[in-house]
Amino acid sequence: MREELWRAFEECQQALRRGEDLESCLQRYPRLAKELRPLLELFLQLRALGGHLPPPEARARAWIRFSQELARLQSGRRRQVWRWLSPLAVAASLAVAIVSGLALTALAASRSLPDSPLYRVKLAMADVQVFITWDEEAKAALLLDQAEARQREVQKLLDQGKGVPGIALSAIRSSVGRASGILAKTGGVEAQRALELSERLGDLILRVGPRLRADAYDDYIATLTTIHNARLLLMGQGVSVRLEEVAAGLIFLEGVGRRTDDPRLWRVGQQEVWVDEATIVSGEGLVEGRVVRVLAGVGANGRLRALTVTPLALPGVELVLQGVVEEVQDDQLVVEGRRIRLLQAGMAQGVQVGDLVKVRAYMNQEGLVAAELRPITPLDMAATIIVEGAADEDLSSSQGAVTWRVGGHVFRVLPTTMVMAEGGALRKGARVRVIARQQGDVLVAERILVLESQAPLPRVVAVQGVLQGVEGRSWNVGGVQVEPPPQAPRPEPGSILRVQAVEEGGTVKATDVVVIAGPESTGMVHLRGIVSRMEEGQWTVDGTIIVVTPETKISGKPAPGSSVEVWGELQADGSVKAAFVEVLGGEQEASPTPTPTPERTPQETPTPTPTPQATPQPTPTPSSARTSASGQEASPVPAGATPTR
Amino acid sequence: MLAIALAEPLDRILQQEGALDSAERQEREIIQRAQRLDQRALAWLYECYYPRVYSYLLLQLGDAQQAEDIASETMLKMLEALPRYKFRGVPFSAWVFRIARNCLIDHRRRRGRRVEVSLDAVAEAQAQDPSPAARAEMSERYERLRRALAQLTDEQRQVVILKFVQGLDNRTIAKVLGRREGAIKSLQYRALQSLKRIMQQEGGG
Repeated sequence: MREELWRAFEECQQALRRGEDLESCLQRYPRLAKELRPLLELFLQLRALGGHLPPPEARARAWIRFSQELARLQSGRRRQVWRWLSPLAVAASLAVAIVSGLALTALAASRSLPDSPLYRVKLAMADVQVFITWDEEAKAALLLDQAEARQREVQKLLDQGKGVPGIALSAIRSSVGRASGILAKTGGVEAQRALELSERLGDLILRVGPRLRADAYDDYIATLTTIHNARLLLMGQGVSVRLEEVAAGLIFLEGVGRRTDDPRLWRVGQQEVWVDEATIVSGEGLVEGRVVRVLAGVGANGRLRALTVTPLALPGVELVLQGVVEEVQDDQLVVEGRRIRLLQAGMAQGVQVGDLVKVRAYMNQEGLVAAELRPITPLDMAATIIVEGAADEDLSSSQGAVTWRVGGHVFRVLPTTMVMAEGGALRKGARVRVIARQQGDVLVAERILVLESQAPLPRVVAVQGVLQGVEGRSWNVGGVQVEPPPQAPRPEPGSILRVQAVEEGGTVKATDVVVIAGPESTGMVHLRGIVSRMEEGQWTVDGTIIVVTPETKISGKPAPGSSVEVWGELQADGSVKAAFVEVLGGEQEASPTPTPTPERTPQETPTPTPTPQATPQPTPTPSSARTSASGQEASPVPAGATPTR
Repeated sequence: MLAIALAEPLDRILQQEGALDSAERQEREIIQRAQRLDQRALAWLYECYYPRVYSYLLLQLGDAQQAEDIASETMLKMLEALPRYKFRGVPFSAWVFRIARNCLIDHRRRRGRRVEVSLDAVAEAQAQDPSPAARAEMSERYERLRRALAQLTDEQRQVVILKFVQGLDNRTIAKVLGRREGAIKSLQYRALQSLKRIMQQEGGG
């Protein structure tokens, strides 16, 4: 290769590494461009081979070996250090630290953004600054300053319309994670600042979604999870969200919140969402019948778990909405995925799909009602794609991206994708409307409206109660007709059973049956339910009298409405003398207005069971009421039923 | 663990920005701290070099498990030999890659034969683009590169990977391979010509 060509090739390599594009490099050497192009193209292909990072688990394994070896070496070295440690050495170390600190401060002033090659240096310098800050509280404050700096940088990239690389997000993750870890232990004055900053960063990163670089998705999910956990930590919640619970991505759900039989499982629209103490709830959070927005993680098993819950509107509260009309009918229209009933028929005359409109609406028990509707200006819908069809599969994830195939099109579902699941769950067979934008080769779903979902997956439930009778192939367990597993031995009527089952088309098919206590047994029993009444020495849990003595060990702070698990001794009168009570899910599960539960003394006849087939038995066992007296007759599954999905 | 996301050595980045002095000073200070077995400095070096060594080995071996094992072994040997490292003209990155190369040679010797280079694991790991068309194109490109790289001599392949994939300069590569800088340049030239020729023959040019 000629020296001139070689030199140009070397210089172009440097330029490409700095982020210049191929064409601008070639423009610098017009005479050599023809020979340079294939060389540089080959260089780019080869360079791309180096982008492969070791899998996190490999990195972790190697680090464990490395740090074990380091510990071994350090234990041998420490003795030598002590021998040589002198005031002079201490003074010298301090001097080095101070000089380094000054140099680093100057370097950290660099204005590079995350898309610059210098940015990695900036982060490394910032980290060394943390490294030489010994005081824990000062270190936390510095980390928060750095997180704020990273926040401004990401915002600047967004303002400039640039993509956001993973390094910017992982830097935020590192700073926030480390700062919250320190502040949770020290409880310093910076804790409140950290909490507010985490909230702002969470909002910012959610906005990053559509501008995320393709290789930054893992960092994106991990950063949102870390920020969420930092908030929980700073709020004093002793829980966190595991990465596998959001492994398949994050989605937004919006709809009316409805309780299910399980206090931790809610329906938002028709989509089931797990809500527990790791869910951060704004305002009054999930209240039956209220419209809420839920940011939910999609777990590796497909289960949705709520990270945050924000109430959107209260009945009677007026809203002003602006958006694109997606459907028009005489008495209703859909704007930006929200179905809005019209106060007067004909209000939407002249309004067409694709128009941009402003709607003044209010909530009532049936949903949104438009009081005023005004078109604004026509919108260019060219870049927007609206697909209506049946979902070909359940939500799936691959390489960290959530995708959904609808009507033959594959849509990428981002955390910023708004899912309106009023019409049913996000499942195979659901009829949905997807509003998407083309981004390169990918269709990114901006909004998904579930129109109808008639293909629900079987619900996994647990039924606990007394075997009240057997009718043909069916057992009556606490008022619930259960189809037993084939060849299952039939327990004696009056036994207390715990049944794992699948609910399909109204039939509860048992997959596993455990006899907790025989009909004459007065041994230990275990039950779960809602506390409806608390009096001195006696509580009522789903209709069962629980005798609480000074010897009863109570974990948590039970209150009326709390969900509890009770272990105790079954008494002859049907009450349970509690040995141990555990409050499930913290205090937020305790409803200020607990579900009204018919009270009874243990000697009374149990309340009729929820299913019409049930034949109330006069047997004075406590658990005959345990599964039947929750007041939630609408469902064939009793209050004690626990979805275990 | 100290969470520093530094995937490239400071000298290579700052060379482009004219801030080499500061970077060298920084890296030298970190290495000196690491030589005193300072955990954070060692974590910094680990974060910086483990991914690069892994990537280098994966391209040589084409087997993720073997690459993981030898990268880990390289890091342990680096830790063990670190107190003996001297700032005498051998860049630190060259020193680390030389350890990695020696570990690779030992591994091949232990295996008793030269391991066939297969980049299937690399191609698989690289094909993360969600678009089917882009994925197909990427997969085809890696397949062509896989075949072409496999046909180079061991030295040519080393040079190509260290120069174009890892981004080391000729002087550093010369230190890794124990050759003169001029020899590295001509190895590069021959390797590129061979790669171009092989890929043209395969119609991917």
